[in-house]
Amino acid sequence: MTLPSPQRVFAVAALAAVVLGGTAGCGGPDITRARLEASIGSTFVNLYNVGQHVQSGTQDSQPAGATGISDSLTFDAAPHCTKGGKDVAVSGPGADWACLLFWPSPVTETLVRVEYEVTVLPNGCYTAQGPSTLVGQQKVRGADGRTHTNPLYEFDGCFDTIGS
Amino acid sequence: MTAVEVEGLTKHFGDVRALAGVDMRVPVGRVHGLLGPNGAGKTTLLRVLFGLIRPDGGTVRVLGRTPDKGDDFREGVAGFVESPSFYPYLSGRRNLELLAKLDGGAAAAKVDEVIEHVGLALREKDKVGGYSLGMRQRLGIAAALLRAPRLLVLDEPANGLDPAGIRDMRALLRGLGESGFTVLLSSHNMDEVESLCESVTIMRTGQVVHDGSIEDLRAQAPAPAHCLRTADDHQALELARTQPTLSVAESPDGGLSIRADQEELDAYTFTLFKAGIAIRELRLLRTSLESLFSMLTEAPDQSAGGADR
Amino acid sequence: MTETVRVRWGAGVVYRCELVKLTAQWWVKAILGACFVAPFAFALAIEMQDTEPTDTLFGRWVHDSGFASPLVVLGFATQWGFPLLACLVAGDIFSSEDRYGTWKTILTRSRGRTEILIGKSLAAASYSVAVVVLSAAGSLLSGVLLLGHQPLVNLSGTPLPAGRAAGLVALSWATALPPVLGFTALGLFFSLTTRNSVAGVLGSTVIGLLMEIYAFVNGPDVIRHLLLTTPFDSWHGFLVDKPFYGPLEEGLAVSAAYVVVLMAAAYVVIRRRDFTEG
Repeated sequence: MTLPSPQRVFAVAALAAVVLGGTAGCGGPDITRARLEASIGSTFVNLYNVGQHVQSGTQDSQPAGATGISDSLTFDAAPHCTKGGKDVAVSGPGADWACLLFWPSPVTETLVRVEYEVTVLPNGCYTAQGPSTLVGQQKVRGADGRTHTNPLYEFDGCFDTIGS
Repeated sequence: MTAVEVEGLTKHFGDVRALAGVDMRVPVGRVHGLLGPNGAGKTTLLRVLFGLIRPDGGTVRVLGRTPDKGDDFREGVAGFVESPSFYPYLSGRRNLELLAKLDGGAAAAKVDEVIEHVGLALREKDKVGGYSLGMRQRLGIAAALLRAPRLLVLDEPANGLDPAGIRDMRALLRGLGESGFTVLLSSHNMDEVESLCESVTIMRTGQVVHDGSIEDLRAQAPAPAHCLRTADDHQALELARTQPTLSVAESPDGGLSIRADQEELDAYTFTLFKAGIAIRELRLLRTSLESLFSMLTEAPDQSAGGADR
Repeated sequence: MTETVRVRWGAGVVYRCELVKLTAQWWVKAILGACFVAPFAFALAIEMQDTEPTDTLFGRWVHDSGFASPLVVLGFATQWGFPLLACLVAGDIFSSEDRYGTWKTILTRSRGRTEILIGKSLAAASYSVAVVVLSAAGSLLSGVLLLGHQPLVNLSGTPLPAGRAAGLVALSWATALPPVLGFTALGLFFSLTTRNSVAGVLGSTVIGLLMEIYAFVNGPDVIRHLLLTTPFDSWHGFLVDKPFYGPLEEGLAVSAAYVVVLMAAAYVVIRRRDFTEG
């Protein structure tokens, strides 16, 4: 009998891995508009609240998620995302996503539309960057007098690429 | 009783025929030589005996077991193929302790004893990376003795040793033989085999050309070869022709070459002396067994099988 | 020990011997030490600088919470570190016997080839687990000790209190174990089949890099789900408000498939191999 060559063994192994794994990865595209919109809307609202607590100085002593905080804002105007300027059923990763998000203007006390540029990676994680004229600079001075990260200047999020 | 029984063993590596129907018997309680020039297939045969190589055909029985009977096959068998190798980043003692652990059982308790036996006690704590070839050979024997073997298989244990090392190694092997071990000793040196072994298997190009006792071999051996230089080589040659049992020829590099046993040679030198021819050099070229060995292993194929048994 | 126990645990004997050999080599200890110490150096560097590694998840939060830096380290390690680190031992553990010529030394003792395969594979796997555990401990400790235990803002923008953040960071690191073991199996397979440590280590590392690069190009999603690097991202599902575990389950299945297939191939190779050298 002759020894199996490493190449042959590896080819068999690779084939088997494909066959075994093939059953796991079926279905539609991983990156869809619906998934992105569902994730980025709530993330934005939560980060808005984080930003408010930094400004008002309650963050250090009392984390917003730990207890119910009465002045946490909820506003559920649905976000609206497009890819490459196309406003159709788009999907797929890329740096050409854009999402319209809504936030309450401190001046007019109405909801203002903010457009974030969004880069979505194939693994379902995205980075959203907002206009600094509206959302402020990367660093902000908190009520405690220290410099904090401005959560709305640029933020990351991830969504499930397998489930609904 | 036979310690090793090999019949019709064959092994090919691609197109190369390494073993072409090898038969060998190693009797129990003896030092048995495995002799052959480099490339004769000795190492392949030894690797088959250890289960390192799977033969293409034929049967192997080592201490009554066959290799396909699982991993107990090596029970009671120890030794090394080619030069023994160890982990250079561990000390000699640590290497032995590791191997004893692999063996399990009583081996761990014998580490001190075998280090003493092979004379490595002074260097046991040094890393094997700094050992000389001779020390590694001795460590190889120590590692084999750990297993309390009934059969020791040693491949050229004197390889690379200096003359003093060779002397020590042979003394060690002789001691092992006398204390009742069965030893299969591979060598390319007829002299070594003759001085240590009672029986021998001689191989060439994957085949066995002799398998039996050294006595049998001696009986077949031609007279030893000598080199002779005299004051008058021409007349010496003439005189030699008068002794019909003497085989004398002109050597290509000057002088004469003579095949004769001791008695004939004595008679011839006496004849030269009486004829007034001075002897300037008389030197043994090859002993009779060495002569036979080179005949068996260098001559064209007719010897294969012909000298068998 | 009785005779039957000794035979039954033959692979365990090989395993213990391999651990002795591994821990006797300085470079193995150096790598394990570095896995623990390097995160401290990273946390120290963060503390002394104003900038953040914003191109990595949680990178923007490193100055705000000590729980962000262990996740940044996890991101780096899974992208570039673990495929190489796991294969440094696995890719060498069989081929080192070729290099030292010691296959015959161990194969002429009382242990069979299958026992040696299992024992060595378990030893390499133990080392890989140690790499992950030490890196995790180093990152978490260095983050908390040097940068503080402030609440961590998760990927949904919700701040998590310290205790919960610590637990999730530890869980996140644990999700690296299955794919790391998959890479370990890849290293073992290359080490055994190429009989060369450079090929054993680099072969599996290069495959890891190619898989990683695939994650950046817009290739078919199905292939991405079959790669051994994809499970490295499954921890993202822990750090959102509505946790999702699909990627974790898929990652476990994919990693297990790699391990099973590669080890089965390795079994066939070691059973059939003729040890003509070494």
